Amino acid sequence: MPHHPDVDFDYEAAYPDLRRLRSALARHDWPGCRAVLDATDPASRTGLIRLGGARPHEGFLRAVFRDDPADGAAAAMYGSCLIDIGWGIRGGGTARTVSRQQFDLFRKWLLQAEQVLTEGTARCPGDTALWASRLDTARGLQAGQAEARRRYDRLAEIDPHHWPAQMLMVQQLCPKWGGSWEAVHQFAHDAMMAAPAGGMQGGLVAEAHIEHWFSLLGDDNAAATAYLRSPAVSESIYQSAHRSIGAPEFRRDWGWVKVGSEFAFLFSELGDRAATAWLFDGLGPLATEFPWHWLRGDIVENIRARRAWARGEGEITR
Amino acid sequence: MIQYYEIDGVPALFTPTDGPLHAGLAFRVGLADEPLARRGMTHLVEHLALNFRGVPDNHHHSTTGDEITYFHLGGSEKEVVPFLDGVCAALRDLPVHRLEIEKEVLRVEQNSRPAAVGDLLALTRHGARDFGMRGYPEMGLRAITADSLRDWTARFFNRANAALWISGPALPAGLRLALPDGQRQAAPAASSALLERPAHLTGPAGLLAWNAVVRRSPAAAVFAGVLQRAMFRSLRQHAGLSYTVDAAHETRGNGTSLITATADALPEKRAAAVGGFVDVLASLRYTGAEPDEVAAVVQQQCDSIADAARLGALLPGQVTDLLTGHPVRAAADQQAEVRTVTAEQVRAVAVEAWADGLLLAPCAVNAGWTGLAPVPTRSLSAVTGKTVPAIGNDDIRLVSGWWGVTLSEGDEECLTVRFEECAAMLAYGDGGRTLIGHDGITVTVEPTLFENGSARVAHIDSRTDPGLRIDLPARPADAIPQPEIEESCCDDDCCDGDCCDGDCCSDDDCAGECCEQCCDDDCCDRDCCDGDCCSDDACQGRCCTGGRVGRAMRRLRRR
Repeated sequence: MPHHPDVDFDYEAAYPDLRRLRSALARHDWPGCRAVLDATDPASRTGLIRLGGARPHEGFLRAVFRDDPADGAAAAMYGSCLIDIGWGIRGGGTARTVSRQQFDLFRKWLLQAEQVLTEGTARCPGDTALWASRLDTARGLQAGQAEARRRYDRLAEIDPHHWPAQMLMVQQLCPKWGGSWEAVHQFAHDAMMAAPAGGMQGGLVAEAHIEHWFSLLGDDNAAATAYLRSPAVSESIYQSAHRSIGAPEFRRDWGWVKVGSEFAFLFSELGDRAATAWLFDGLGPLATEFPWHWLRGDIVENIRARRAWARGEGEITR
Repeated sequence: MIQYYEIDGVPALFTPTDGPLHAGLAFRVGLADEPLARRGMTHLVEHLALNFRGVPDNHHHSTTGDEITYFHLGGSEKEVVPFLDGVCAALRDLPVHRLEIEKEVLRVEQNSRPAAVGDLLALTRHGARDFGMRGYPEMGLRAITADSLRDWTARFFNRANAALWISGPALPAGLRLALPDGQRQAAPAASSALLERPAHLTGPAGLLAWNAVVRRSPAAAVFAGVLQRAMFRSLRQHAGLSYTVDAAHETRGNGTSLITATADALPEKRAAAVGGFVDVLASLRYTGAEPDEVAAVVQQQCDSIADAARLGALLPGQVTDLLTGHPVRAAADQQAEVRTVTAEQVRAVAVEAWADGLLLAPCAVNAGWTGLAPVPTRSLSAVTGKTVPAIGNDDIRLVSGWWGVTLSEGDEECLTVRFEECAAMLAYGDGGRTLIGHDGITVTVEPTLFENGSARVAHIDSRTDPGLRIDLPARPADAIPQPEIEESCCDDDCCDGDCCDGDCCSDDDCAGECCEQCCDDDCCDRDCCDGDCCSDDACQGRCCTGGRVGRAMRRLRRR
């Protein structure tokens, strides 16, 4: 994606640790990778491992894992890398858009990831990043809701507010993966209320509403917009924003750009210019493609248009 | 303490105990020795041998196992001596006039016996041979004649192939074991019907079951104990997924041990029970059990050995060892062996067991995500020969050639039984035939469903070893399948694409309601239990396309 100074999707810009991690990966410097991962909080560590474990590093990470299979970070990052390769082959579309051959390969990589991660959790049962990645494999391999829940429960015993895994559970609980809207919203709400104020968990509620909104998109946006603007949903959106990104305790930790983008999107859908503008001001040029990529047209132009609207410059075309 | 005797040429192990007198006469014969076409023969001998005047109507029980058959009585000296005399006399001269009555009794017994999950694992692992026999009904009964039964008895129920155990205050006076001469029969080898291991399949029950064959060792027995404790802690106490968990260990005469684990689970928790179990095994093979955990199991097993020794309950196992060519070990020796087991040895057994494992996932759970190989439910190749299409469905074809018979649909899927690998053929008086291959694959040939079907049956009959044939009466007319003109949604091409919408398969004839949910995560909630859909491990919105042939075949099989 070309670089736009006013709309920056680069995670490294938002998270300097990611730059340091990727630099160590590029040097094949595992102690350097560990230094970055060991110094950060558990949720950021999981986020960094999942993003750092990418296709180009497969050979290096495999060697690191084989060298010391009891290194949880190595197992988690190698597993993430295998998952990344699998999803790269599958693509993000619905099952109908995936060819048989793509699907077979996707499955093969995910099964390999599952083996690595199973060994990882057997050796390091207290490693949250491993359990989070096993939520990824559970979903991709269709292990079922009960098995996903078991993995999440194992993880939650270690860290009850592990935001990256909670985000994966929101996906898992969506109807497209065999869950239900009731289950998604309940999970997101409960996780938010259980977490301390200012946590990322408000983003779970936002993401659940965005997924729900997207499922209702039809020829026009009327039903989807009506869903968000219904009193209960809009109240839930405000409540979750207040409890997370709007709370004084909120910190710009791993994932904050996504949470900011989600709320900016939701408030623009609700027509609340002031709230949207406040979020865009906080984000500056930073953005995630989610959920803007679900709007028709160019992602960058959509973000620019909503930002301009929020600042009183023009109207949103839907 | 064991005292060794010999009674009429039969080795006898005696353990003095305070309790009542117990005697068991064991023979090295069992289900694993039977060919499928004579399945039930040993059990029939066992029944006939207990038909003599004065047989006590209680305190005795007899069992036909995989490798050992025994006659046991607990009672007074006045009861035990005539009991053994009577059994030996009946074995010398079988009361074959009771043959047909006892066959009926066995049929009733079989009907009332619940299906055991271990039977399905055995059949899947070994096919229609040796240790897979317990997965099959006693289908050979009808084919058993008085002569074939006498031959069987002479071969296996003789003095060289027998051993006696006795526990009680003293060896009873006047003990005789007047058995015919003969030879010791070697312990049966174990066949494998699995192309790949570790493997998995989905079972019909709400129970998770798993088994593995490992080299026989004290560590293997300790591993089973460690596994049970780990399952209890993880699946029951920690995650609340199961109520009953069990892990058992049994030895085989061929120098291996069979480890079997089971765990129950509520329907909505079954997938998680599989995950929890796989993680228990992963933990045991990657990190191993804690040494104090191993020590606790060692102590437990030593205590069990001591208790059993006091009651004389080690004797059946000792007699089995004797008959299968293994050294007879006294309680103290057994305890000493168990005490040498280390945590690392137990971990090594876990590695070996995992590599050989066969997982039976509970009903409706597809365990494909575990990476275990799916158990083949179809044949890898077809035979060549005369090919006839099914009436009303050109896609289904019957091939009968020189080497065997194949039932196929389309170009991809087939069921084949080769004549030289045929374990049994059921021959109905109405012309229907069911051939069962050594690998457990079954081909049913219904002459009514194929053009010129009677000629194909005649060819199959001419090529099948008559010794494998089991003649059965003609079935009632309404039980004989007839060709159908396929018109309903599920008998035809539906489910190819649109089942994702959940609107097809409303027809009653659908093999299941799988299509309702098939493309979602918990696909095929109901149907998996009875067939192939989703047992291939690629069910992502596709199970119905892959399952179509399987369903058509299943309909044929079921008819």
